[in-house]
Amino acid sequence: MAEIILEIDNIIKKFEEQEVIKNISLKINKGEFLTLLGPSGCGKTTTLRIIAGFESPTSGNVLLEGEHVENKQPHERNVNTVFQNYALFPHMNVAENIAYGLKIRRVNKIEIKKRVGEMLSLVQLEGYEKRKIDQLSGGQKQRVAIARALINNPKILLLDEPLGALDLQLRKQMQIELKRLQKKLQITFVYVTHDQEEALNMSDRIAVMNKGVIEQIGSPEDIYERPKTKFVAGFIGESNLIKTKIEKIDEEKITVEFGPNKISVNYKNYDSSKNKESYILIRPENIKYSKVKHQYSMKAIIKEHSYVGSIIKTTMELASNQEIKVSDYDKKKDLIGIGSEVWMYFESEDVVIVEEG
Amino acid sequence: MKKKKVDFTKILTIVPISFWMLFFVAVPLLYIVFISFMQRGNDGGIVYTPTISNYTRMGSALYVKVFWDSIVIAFVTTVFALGFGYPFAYFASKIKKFKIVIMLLLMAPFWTNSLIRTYGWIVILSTSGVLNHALIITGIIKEPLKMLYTYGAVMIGMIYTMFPFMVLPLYNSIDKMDRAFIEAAKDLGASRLKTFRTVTIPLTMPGIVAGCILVFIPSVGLFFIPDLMGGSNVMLIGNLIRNQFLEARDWPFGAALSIVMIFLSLILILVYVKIIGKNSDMGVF
Repeated sequence: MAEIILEIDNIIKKFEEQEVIKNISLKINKGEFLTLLGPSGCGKTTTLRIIAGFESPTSGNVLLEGEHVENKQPHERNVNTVFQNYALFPHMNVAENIAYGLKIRRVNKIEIKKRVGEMLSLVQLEGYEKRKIDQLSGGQKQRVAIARALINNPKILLLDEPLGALDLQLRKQMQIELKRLQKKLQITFVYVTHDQEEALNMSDRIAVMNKGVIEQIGSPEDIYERPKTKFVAGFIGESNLIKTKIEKIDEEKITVEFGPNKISVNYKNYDSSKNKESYILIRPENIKYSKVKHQYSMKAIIKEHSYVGSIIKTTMELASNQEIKVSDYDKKKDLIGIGSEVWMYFESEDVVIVEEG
Repeated sequence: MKKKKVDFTKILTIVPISFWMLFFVAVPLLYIVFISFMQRGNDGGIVYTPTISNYTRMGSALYVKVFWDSIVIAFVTTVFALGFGYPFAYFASKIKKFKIVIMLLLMAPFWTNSLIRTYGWIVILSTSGVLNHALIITGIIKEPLKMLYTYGAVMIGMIYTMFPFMVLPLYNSIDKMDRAFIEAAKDLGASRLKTFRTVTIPLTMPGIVAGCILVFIPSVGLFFIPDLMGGSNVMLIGNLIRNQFLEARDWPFGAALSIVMIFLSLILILVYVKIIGKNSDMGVF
């Protein structure tokens, strides 16, 4: 079991009677890259601000290395933040910005100079010491913000949608760099984003948040392959959710309704204790279709083919009027014409049963 | 060759402004410069004989003291207005719910003539005034204090009158400052005090400088407050200039004093431009 660096315990946060965070508990391991992922308004940024100390929780505990910090000021806790719009001080140059934390702690000048140099080379900005902040590009500002936070050797680095302002190419490049940096420094990163691809790409673990609660926490594979709730399944990746009824729960298999047929699925996360609506989740890449009937198949009508580069996306409609998305990597095969009746099918091992959140 | 289109809306806005500036600013100013080099006639008129005596006269100890006193009073007024104004503007911008009310209250006195408001201070401060009465009734003092017609009274009047001119630019730059900078400083380990010193003050410097100039320059030349609240005990440049024009009927000397005062003001604006020039995107004007 990895060493726990931060523990959030039954946190509730209200802003004027509005509950933004409804009871969150979370343990963060030392050296891991944890992402808080969710749509805007889900409470992810508030959670981050509680860890940083900008907000104090209405109730609950925050333990940094076992020590209560929930009522400590931001400058009294050894965590640092990379802000959404960087918040680099405009009246200081690059070197002064990076040195700020050390200057405040009255570290001697020679040491500061040495450390600023190390940080600049870490973020590949050697020679930019004297640059003004408004002379930097978005990506360079990003690097300065990271260096300014990291120079303080924080126990945890908090990143609040740090790549949000960058264009797609740069964002992808920075994702790789951030991950590499985190691996190299072995510093715990808590990363907030609404971008599922960013989360899947970088994180060791992802906590998917919705409406002030953590819906699921797990590795990117867990979250994508074995989502527990309808929300997680729908928020991450593309998904087809078909309403179903649970027929039977055996030791290893769960049997659910699939049209007129029954389908047996391996246990994957399903918690039978809650009596909620259940859905069959099948990712678009796991669905196939043909003119011939298969074991688990349903009649559908092809509505649309669209070419999106690496894949062909097909939309088809079931008899129940539900739309089904299919992604096909085999671009050479002959497409079945729009309006044709086909059988859509899949392997039972690609099916996950999820429930209402 | 590209034909230039005549933009009539542009002309419509520029022409009247240019005429206004020419006839109501440039011409009178040049006239003042012109007569400052002329001589005074025996019956108060202007004799058009060039001289620089109006300027050399200012070298006398009497006038140097007037300039010195004016600058000291303006300086002290500015310091006090800043001292009260900064916390005022800071908290006004922080209290989100009431900030409009607070700013309205600050502006409310503008709806009354400032002369009348100054008389209000006279009612409060005079020997038989409200404040002395209150102090005698409560037994704090036995004899009424002489509060009116002192440098202190002039100072109070000036600070009171100039306060909004300090607060408005301060409020503007404090309110405009991104709170994220303060959070960033705290996040990096700075206490409240250090955050204020290393981030808040430098980032609101344009407002501080603008407020100080808006208070200092008029304070040097204000004459009705020293007149009403300082009486004959206080003589500042503003009063001196007014006296030359209206009582002594020495327009050339009055003009020369005005020119020197304008130069003092220009020097201060240059200082402002130099400070702000370093971070030009944060200017208030």
